[in-house]
Amino acid sequence: MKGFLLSLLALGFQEGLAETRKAIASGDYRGAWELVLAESNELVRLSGQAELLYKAGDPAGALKAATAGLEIAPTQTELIYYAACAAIWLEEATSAIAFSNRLAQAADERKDSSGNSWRQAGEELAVRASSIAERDEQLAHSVKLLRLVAMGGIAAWILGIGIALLLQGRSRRPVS
Amino acid sequence: MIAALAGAGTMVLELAAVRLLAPWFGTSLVVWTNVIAVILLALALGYFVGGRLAEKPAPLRVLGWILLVAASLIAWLPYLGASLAERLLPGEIALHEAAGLIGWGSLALAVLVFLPPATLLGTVCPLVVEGLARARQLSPGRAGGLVLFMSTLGSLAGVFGTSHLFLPMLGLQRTFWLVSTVMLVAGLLALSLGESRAWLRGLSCAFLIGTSAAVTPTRPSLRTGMIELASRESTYQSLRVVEDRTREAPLRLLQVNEGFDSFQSVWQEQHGLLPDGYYYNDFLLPLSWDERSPWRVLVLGLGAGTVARVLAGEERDIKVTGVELDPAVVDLGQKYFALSEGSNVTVWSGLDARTALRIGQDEFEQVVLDCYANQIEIPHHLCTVEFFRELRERLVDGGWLTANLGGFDFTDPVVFAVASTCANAFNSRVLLVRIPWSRNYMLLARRDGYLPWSQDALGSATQPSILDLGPRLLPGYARLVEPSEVFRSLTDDWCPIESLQLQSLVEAHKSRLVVGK
Repeated sequence: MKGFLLSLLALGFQEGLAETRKAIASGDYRGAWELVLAESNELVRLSGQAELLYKAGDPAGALKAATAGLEIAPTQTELIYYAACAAIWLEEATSAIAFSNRLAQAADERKDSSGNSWRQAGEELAVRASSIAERDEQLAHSVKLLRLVAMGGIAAWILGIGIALLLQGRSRRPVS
Repeated sequence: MIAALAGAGTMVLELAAVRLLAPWFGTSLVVWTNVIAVILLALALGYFVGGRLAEKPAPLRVLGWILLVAASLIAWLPYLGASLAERLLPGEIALHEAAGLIGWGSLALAVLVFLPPATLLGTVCPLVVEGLARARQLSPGRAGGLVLFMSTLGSLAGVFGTSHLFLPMLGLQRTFWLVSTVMLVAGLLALSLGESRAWLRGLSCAFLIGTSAAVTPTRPSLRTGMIELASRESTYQSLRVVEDRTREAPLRLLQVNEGFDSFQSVWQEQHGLLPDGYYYNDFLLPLSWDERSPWRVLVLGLGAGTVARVLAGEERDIKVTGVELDPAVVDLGQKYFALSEGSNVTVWSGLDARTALRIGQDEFEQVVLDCYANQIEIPHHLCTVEFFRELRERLVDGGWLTANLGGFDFTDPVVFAVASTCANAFNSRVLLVRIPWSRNYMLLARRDGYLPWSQDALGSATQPSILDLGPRLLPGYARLVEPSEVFRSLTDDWCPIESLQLQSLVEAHKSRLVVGK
């Protein structure tokens, strides 16, 4: 029953967004926006917004729309896909990894022939998300190291000079 | 004489230090603060140590040795600095990743590279004072005054020499060698006053300096597929022309003090629109609603002429006057970015944007403001209410100001502050337009004219233009900013743009995290 409903939903998506996609492809973003807003199904509307904003170069807006849509349909693959893509674009590692994994999981649950393609997309996005996480870790490590070098360097230099002066003071000859 | 040479050397070291760090950290206020702080700490330590060493029986001999060691160290600084930066920093740092790295990175490098030689130079004054007092039987006060007088004069010469002669003419590495050689001479001078076999010590030091010529300091590595076409040290900045050959149609970028992924100018073979995501395209926005021709444009921050080439794609009669502070940028523009003066392009080179506004008498249909300094900062005198008022006077009735602002959101501290200040100066609402596939915003303001706004979004184009407004017409892509008495405008007297910029970088990172969750 659940699978049947999901199939119906996916079909609704394809039909509901076909015109929107045509408008986006022709560069008529404003027209696409109007079409999306006119959509009565909230889920389709949010999905359309996510796709439109992502393609219009606004990943933050796309992520917001996709996240809102996922609250209604947590396993909707298109929404998870755009959420993952937007999170990667924004270089938000934690969300990117979570959405990528969720996409692979949602793909497994799909009964139609597109499951494999979604799974593959999820895996590819997961690789990119992991590299962002590694980069974040690398940057955090670098900042820590630089802080240590800066503060340690100053402390070591002052300490070194102090010790050298102390030693020199002991062997100092009297000045005439 | 020795005090004067050491004073000059210290100032050259300080100014060149910022330039040495620039390829990795830029030259923002944070970097300057760190370098100055380290040099001051070094001088304080040096004075203290020098005072103690002055009690030695032969202070001039000690001084000679110190200067020889300093000379040897300074010769190697370009290589040391570059090598340490390569090892300590991750590669290919993007601008939004740079917030923490700029502060701690520049401090760490300054400590490692400049603290030791500057401390050594700091010991010079007390030692010279002691030597002078003993040799000429002067009172400490008189000897100190004389040494400070000479040292400060030397510093003065060092400051002017570095900015106007050494860096532009010799480049960074040779400037360090020059200081090194000067210290070598000063060291030998001190030793010759203290002992007769000074030349032997000097010879070994000269050998150390000479060997530093065998190594070339590295610069931040380029991404795969990018090649360097030219590099230059100008009076203002380190410049590098690189070409991105990973694209089907190669793009050339002019990088300035670059360690990050930002750039100052872009070139592609065809004039007209650049690929999506390059903010220069959005300087064409006013042409979508304004039919006037000829269209006279004043570009403040011409760089290597990218805006002029983008505008040249329009069919309208467009005349561009470009103002660029750094003549070396214009020179590179002519060689690598097809910037050519002619009937449609006039270049005012070597002029500050604000000075140019005051000097010029002409009026323009559009003023393009694209001035950035130190990689990330809008110069403080180019974002104040007084500046925007002066700029407004250069516009014809209905004329447009278009300004490029880097920021992560409409609420970005820099974007909001500059837009609100501009609205207050123009005493009318202004428009902020998000630039698609980019982290920049375009500020649009008009002198006594209507802004293209329709209900909740940017108004549709009414004139033909090569720029397709596309996603810019979506609600949420543009926002009006009203003049406000509540908002404290940036003024010539109060303009914390540097801290706003840093706040912007920090908040950009935070906002990503919030949105992501």
